[in-house]
Amino acid sequence: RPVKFVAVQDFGMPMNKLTARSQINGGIIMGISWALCEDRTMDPNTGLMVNPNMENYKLAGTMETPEIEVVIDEMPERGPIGLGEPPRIPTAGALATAVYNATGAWVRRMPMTPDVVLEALANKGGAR
Amino acid sequence: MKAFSYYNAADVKDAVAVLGDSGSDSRALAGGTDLIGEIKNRYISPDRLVNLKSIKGLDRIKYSRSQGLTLGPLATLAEVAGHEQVRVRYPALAEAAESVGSPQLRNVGTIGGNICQRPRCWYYRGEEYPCLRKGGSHCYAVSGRNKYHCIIDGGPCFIVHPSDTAPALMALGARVAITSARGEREVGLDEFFVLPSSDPTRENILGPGEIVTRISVPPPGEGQRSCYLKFKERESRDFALVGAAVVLELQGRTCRRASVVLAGVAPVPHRSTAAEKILSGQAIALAVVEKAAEAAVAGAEPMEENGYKVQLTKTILKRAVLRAAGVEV
Repeated sequence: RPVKFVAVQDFGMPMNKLTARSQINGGIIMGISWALCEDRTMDPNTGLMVNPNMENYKLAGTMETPEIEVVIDEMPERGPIGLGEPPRIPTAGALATAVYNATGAWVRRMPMTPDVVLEALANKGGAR
Repeated sequence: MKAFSYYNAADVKDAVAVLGDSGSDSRALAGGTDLIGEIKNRYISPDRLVNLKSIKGLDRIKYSRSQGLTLGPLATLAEVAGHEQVRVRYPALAEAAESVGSPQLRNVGTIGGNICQRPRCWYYRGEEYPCLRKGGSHCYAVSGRNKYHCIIDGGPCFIVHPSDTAPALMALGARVAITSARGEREVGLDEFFVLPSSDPTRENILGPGEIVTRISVPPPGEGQRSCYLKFKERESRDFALVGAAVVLELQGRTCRRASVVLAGVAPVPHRSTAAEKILSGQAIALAVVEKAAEAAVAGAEPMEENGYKVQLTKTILKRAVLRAAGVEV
């Protein structure tokens, strides 16, 4: 569970700083959701999704949301640049790196739920 | 959803009379946090809902030194978790009740409903799957996706029992009163739940026209300490991956008697007599606790995707016992 998240975003010239910060916050939360919670689970026999609902397709909630610090690295000389995907995609990578930093195990699958992390620890040879 | 009639029961006798009428498919309605979901997901369509909330006194919580705790089944989980005597004398129950769902769910969901709730198995809850529990011939979890399913006592159906309060109540030695038109019977909670090997279509012994009307917990023994721990995949709101209710009778550092009931590992709340035997009569310390944890999972039969539950069960049992005993490691 992430405790604190720091995002340094460079996207040239910010057009609206409040919107930009909100976009970054949202991207981080959804990146956490993607990396730690969300899993489209398919039944191998019927080809149907077994969790097409809010109960079992898990989304990050308040307890998954860490303290988020946003740093905007302003470079107005570059002009406006997109901020749609950047906050979300590297977030998952950052979380995987954090898990490695904490456990010594690289987790290669998402979401990084207890079963997946335990498997990675076992493969590393360090499960306790 | 199919239209249903809504009946406000005047008292218990009235409720069980209406519920026992075999002429219509009537269901008991308490908080409705499970039942309404089942109806909306279209795998049950009752003709009539019998509202129990209109019955006076069915939500009362009483405690006395001599009688222990008496819970009306309609007491909400928030009321149980917040009740001072429950928090002080039966921490495992307060912690279990508090761990359920979310504040909104705890304000509406009842303790009776929590122990009688239906499983969360996505095949059981999936319209498309005529599974064993719904009267079909096949368990789809066996060759399907089973990361949340059971590792102990499974077969021919492999659900886990979803309740947190049931393991806590069972560990505390609770009994339930079951009322029907024919009168009242009382059973220990250990006898209330049904394994799929006996009957894969039901989780408990309630028959048509029967409702739980009382949950009784004996007064705490001398030196009784208890706790409930719950591991969730998602902290914000989730059912247990595994849970452990531990009740210890301590005399100094020695545990005279241990009661250990696990959530999330079996189709019923699972009493680990193996762990209890190892802990009873011992001073609680890391070595004996680890031995008990190993014993608890000794007969486990993991499925394709739920082997991780073996490790989680060992860890949660260990932590719960140490916490109940107040031992720091």
